[in-house]
Amino acid sequence: MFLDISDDQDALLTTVSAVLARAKSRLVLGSGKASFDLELDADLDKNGVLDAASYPEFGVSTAALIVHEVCRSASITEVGASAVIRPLICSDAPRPLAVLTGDPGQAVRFLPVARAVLVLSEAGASWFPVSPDDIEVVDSYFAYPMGRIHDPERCLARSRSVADPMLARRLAQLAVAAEISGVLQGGLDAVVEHVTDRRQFGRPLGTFQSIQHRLAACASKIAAAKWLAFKAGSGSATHADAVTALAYAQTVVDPIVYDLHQFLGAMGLTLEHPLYRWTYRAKLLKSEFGGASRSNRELADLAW
Amino acid sequence: MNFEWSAREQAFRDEIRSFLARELPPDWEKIARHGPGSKQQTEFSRVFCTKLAEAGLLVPHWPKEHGGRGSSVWEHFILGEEMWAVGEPRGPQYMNVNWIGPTILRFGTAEQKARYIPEIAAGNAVWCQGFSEPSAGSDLASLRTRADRDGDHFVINGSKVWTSYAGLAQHCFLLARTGGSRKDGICIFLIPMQTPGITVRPIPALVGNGDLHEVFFQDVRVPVSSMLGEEGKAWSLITYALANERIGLPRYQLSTRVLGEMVEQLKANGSWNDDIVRFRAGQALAASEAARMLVYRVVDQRSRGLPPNAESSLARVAIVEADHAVANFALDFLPEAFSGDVLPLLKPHHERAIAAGIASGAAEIQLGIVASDYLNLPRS
Repeated sequence: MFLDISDDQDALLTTVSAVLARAKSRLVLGSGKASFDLELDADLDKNGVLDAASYPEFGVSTAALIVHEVCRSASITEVGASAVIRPLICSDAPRPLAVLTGDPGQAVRFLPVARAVLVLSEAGASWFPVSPDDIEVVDSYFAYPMGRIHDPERCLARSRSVADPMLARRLAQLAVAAEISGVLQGGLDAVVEHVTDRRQFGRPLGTFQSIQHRLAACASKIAAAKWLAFKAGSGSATHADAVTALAYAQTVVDPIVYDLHQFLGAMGLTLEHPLYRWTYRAKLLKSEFGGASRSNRELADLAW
Repeated sequence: MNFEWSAREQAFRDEIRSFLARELPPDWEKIARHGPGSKQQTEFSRVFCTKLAEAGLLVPHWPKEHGGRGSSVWEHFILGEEMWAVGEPRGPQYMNVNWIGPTILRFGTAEQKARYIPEIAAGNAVWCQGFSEPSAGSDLASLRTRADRDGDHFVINGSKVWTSYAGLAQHCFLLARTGGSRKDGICIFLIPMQTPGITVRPIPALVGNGDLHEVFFQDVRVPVSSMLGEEGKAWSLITYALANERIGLPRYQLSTRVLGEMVEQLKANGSWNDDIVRFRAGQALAASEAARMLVYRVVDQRSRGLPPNAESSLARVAIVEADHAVANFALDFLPEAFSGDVLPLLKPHHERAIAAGIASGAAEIQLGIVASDYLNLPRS
């Protein structure tokens, strides 16, 4: 076992960090919640970091690491499906990708910017290309661009099957787990900075034990979610590993998001602070694949 | 990142499983039901640990000259996992092999090593740790038990409390103060429990028969040679010992074992079709696997020679949550199984779970360490 970042992964993360630093410099807060950073999307693609899963020296664990780091940023882009699923399942599909797991007519994140849709259902897995004409933009309550397919039947008619639908589902579950660990880590980073700087009652908020202990409990859960996602990308990982990572990550979203907002106070209710960019991604991610309840039951069914 | 076991590690795990299949008697789980500090388990563990020692599996991580086989950090940990997966049949001896023995090996005199190490390595010794006091629980540095020099002896006066295994232990790894305050002035004494002046009184408890005790020291005379390390400088030794302990035991192994056994019962009684039961079972399993990953991360750091850090506390927090998730699942869906012999490991698991957040540094101490040393939050 070696549960740390390798030198090769570290070099890749250096590239990712540089890309994210450029994105941070472009970030404009205070307006709508669902702004998508197309330049970040192109920058990640151009630097080749989204293909890591297909290289033997990196693999899916590294892709999960990249997803975690990118989602840790306040800048919003499509990385989960592109880094974890696409290289192994549908490398010929154009990106960004949206992933449809339920009713074909439902609102789905990233659809307004997507160039292809991956469909995961009980019947199998397939993908089809989309253009803006296929999509109806939906007003987003979450920190994602959301959209709905105008005519699902017409789009599904041009879909192409993927060779290994079970692997596609497993990778999609793992991708969401890594996204959750990343957005929660980003939110925690921001709140730790806030309670370190913000003084009330004559002292930094972060010196109060009630705050310290709850943030420490958040840190333990986020670290576990992250390593479960990385493990689910390892060579010997099973479907149960991916579902474990997803079920655990979705389960911890609610208590962590509650604490993050509590400790940022009214500042966290504004769009001037980026907290919503993490928490309102987490709030949607926890409902993917039927949510924590269904994911935990799926884990139970796989385990026993 | 590499999450795979090496061929050598897998072979070591297989060796342990073969040993357990061969040597663990059919009535072991009923013995375990009495609790880790019980007379029944302690007597069983003496025999079992002797067999483990003969097979080279009691202290494989120790140096060869002291009865070990130079096994790696991971192999040592695999041993712990396999023991916990069957309910920890080593009983109180896990302390000897995990941290009391290694601390004596590291800091003991030749005489101390010759006296204590062979019997630990042979599986014959039961120790207790004289740490907590009525006024020194989580705040260990506030301990008051005195050790006053009198010629070639120290005279010990004071009391310890919540001391596990004291009723049946031969030796005590005792902390006492020769002077100073807080972390300064503390000494470690290795003393026979039969020394005149020591009185042990069991405390009726929720965590099993014979587990918790009060230990009183009244003018207990021990030779100067019983001191481990330098006078008044024991805090660094305690830190060394607890670094071995604090990582947390692989409790998740017992949790997942018990959880699996409960699922079989729930399938048999028809409850498994209930979505809520399966939801909660999955949640408890995921929490156990989360704890496993954080523990593995710490073991990996130790295997690479990195110094202990706050990630041990991250892992301890996750272990406590996982233990309680499984224990609460049992209480919610199989309360009747705590009686009878159908699931004999359920009761000892519950007893260990309710102690998991208290022993070896309360969970709140761990959260404080995470806040200061992992999140770098400001100190008050």
